[in-house]
Amino acid sequence: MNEDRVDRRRFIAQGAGTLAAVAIAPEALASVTRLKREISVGVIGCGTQGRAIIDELNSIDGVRISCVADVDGPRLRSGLRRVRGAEGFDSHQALLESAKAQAVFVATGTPDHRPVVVDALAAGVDVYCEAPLAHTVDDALAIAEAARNSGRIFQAGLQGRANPVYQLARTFFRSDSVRDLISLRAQHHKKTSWRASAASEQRRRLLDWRLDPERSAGLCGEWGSHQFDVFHWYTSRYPVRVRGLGSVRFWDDGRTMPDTVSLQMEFDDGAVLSYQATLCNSYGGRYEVLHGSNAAIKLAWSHGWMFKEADAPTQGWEVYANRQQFHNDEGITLIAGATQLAEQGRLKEGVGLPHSSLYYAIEAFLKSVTEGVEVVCDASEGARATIVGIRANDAVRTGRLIEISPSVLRDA
Amino acid sequence: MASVPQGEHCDAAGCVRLACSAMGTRFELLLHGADSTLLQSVGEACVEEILRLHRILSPFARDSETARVNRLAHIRAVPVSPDFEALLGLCRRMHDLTRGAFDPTIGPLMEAWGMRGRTGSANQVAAARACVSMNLVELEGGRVRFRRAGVRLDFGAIAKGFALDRVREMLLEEGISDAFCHGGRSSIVTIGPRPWRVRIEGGPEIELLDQAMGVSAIDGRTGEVDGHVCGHIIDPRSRMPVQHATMAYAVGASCSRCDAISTAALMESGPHLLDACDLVGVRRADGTWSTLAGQARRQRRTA
Repeated sequence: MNEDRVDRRRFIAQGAGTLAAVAIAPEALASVTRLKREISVGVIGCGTQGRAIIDELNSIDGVRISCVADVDGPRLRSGLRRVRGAEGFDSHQALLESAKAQAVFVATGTPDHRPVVVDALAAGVDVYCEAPLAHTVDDALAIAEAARNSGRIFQAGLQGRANPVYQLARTFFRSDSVRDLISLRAQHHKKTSWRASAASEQRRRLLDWRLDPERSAGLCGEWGSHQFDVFHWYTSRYPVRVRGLGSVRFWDDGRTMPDTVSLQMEFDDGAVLSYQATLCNSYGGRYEVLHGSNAAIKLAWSHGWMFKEADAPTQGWEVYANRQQFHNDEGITLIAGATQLAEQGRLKEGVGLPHSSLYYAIEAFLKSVTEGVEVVCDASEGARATIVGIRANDAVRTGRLIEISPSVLRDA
Repeated sequence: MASVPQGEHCDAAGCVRLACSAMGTRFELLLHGADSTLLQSVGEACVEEILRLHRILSPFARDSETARVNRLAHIRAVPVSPDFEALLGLCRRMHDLTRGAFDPTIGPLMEAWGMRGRTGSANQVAAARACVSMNLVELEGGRVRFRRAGVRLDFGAIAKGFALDRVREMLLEEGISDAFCHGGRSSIVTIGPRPWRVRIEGGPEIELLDQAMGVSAIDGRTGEVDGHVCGHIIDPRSRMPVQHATMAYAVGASCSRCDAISTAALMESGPHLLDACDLVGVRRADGTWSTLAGQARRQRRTA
C-alpha cells in the first residue's frame, strides 16, 4: 500500500524540477478535450449523477453517448432528453446486450453497482464506476477482484485524483512545503433532505436507497469516501481505527439514517483526521485541510490555498502568488500553470478551474480508454476508500471504536 | 421588480419554501400540497436543476459551458449540450420574432459601456459594436461557432425564464399542482387552480393563473454613454441605450418567452410581440403605462 511513499528529503532534492514538470499549461486546462479517436459510450443510471456525467460528456469532442439505461422510467426519459440520438434501455443487461457502447459510466444507486459492474466487465466493456463503489465490504472487494481479472480498464469515480488543483497541491504537499503532517480535517455540509423526488411509494422505496441503512453506508460512505481518498492519496496512508457519532438533528421525517455525523480517524503514525458531515446546514460547504508544521493546505474542489506559517522558509514560487484574505489568515491561491500565467500578467484568470471536477475525472477515463493513459484511480484504490467509508459508518451506527484491518485493505 | 406573494398562499400549512442563489440572483420556490416530504424532495430536485442550468448558462462562472463557448467558438466549432442548443435556438427565434430587439450577443457592448465594471475606450466601444449580431453566431449539428473574435453570448435576459420553465415542467411531472416560483422577482412561473397576485413595482397588479411573467427594467445597473449615465438595456439595432421606456412586463405560457418579450418591449411595440405571449405592458419614460393584450388573454378573461 505504501510502495509509492516518497522519502521527504529525497523529494526535496528533486524539488524545483519536479514542480516544473507537473505544472499544467493554463491553456490546456481551459480547452475542450478532443479525443484522438472517437468512442461510443453508455450511461447506466440517469439520476442526478448520471445526468451530470451526460452533461460533461456532451462537451467532449469525440464521444458519442449511444445508449442510456435506468430501471426508473421517468429518470430514463430525463436522461434521454439530454442526449442526441441515444437509445434508451430499462435495464443495464439490455444496454450491454445491445453492444452499442465500448465503455460505460455506472451511476446507479450504490447498492446496484456490483451486479452492473460485474456484468459490464464480463461483457468486455471498459467501466467508470461512481464512488463509493459499494455499500458493503464484500461488494467492494468483489468489484475490485472483477476489475483486476477482467483485463478491462476500470476507473473509480474518486474525482480528487484527476482534479488539476488537487494534483498541484499534492506536489506541494509531497515536496515538503507542509513539512511534518500534524493533523487532517474535512467537512461536507449541505442543506438537503437527501430524498429522491418521487410521488409514489413504490418509486420512493426504489430511489431513496441512501436513507435505508440496509442499502447505504450513509454520509460516511456516500460523501466521506471521496474525501478520505484525498488523504490516502496525499499521505499514502490509511486510517487504522475510527470512532464516530451521528444522529437525526433536523430531518424529522421518520428516517433512521443520521443526517449529521462526526468522526475521528486515527492513522498508524498518530495523525488524526476529524470529519464532519451534515444534511442540515450548508456553512463552509465541502473541503479538506492538511495541517503541517510549515503550512496548511486547504482544498475545496475547484480551489486550493496554502497558508504558510510565519517561520516557514521562502521557496521562491511565492513571488508569483495570488493571495486571498480569510479573516486573520492570508491564503496563497494554488493555481495550475501559475508561473506561465504570471509572466503573461494573467494570474487571476487561473483562480478556480475552467471545468468541473467531474469533467477532469471523465476526461482521464476516456484518455485511458482511447490513448492508453494510466488510470488515475483504479479499482483497488476505489475499494479501499469505499471500505474506509463503510467502516466509518459502522462506527457511527454502533457507537463503538472500529478497527480498520490493514489486511482487508491489502486484499482490495 | 414584482412583489412576491405573502399571506394566505405561503404561510398556510402544507407550504414548503426553498431557495437558492444562481444566475446572479435569488430563486425562490413556494410549493403547496398535502405531502410535505414530497414537496421538499421535488423542490430540491428543482433547485438542483436550476444550479445545473446555472453551470451551463452563466457567462461569469469560469467553468460554465457558456464561458467555454465564449472562450473558444471564434477559434473552432465547440460541441454544446442539448440544453445550450435548445436555448440558443430559442434565442434565435425570439431575435427574429422581435425583429432584432432581443439579442443575446449584446454583452460585449454592455461591458464596453461600463455596465459591468469599468467603461472602455472609444476604440473598445467601436470594437464591441462590431461584435453585436446574431448573424455572427452559427449553430449546426450540436456545435456553435462565432464568425469573428470578440463575439460573446450572454443569456442573462432569458436564462432565468428558461430555468423556471424547466422547474414548472418538473413540478407538473411529479404531480405538484399549486406553486409559485420566481428568479430575482423578475421572472415568475405559477401553477395552480387559483390565481397568484403579483404587483409590478409602480405599476398594476396582475393575476397569474397557470401562467408565467417576465419583467424588465432599465434601472439597476447603469453605464456611461457619451458622458451620460444611462440604464443597462441596449437596443441591439441602434446599439444605443433604451430611453423612451423604463419598464415592461409580459405574461404568457412560457417564462423564457416572456423574459425575451419583456426585454424587447422596452424598444419594440406591435402585435407581433403577442405571438410569444398573451399580454404586454410598458411604462414609458413619462410614467404612463400602455398595454397590449392578445386573443388568448381575452379568451381566458371571458372564460
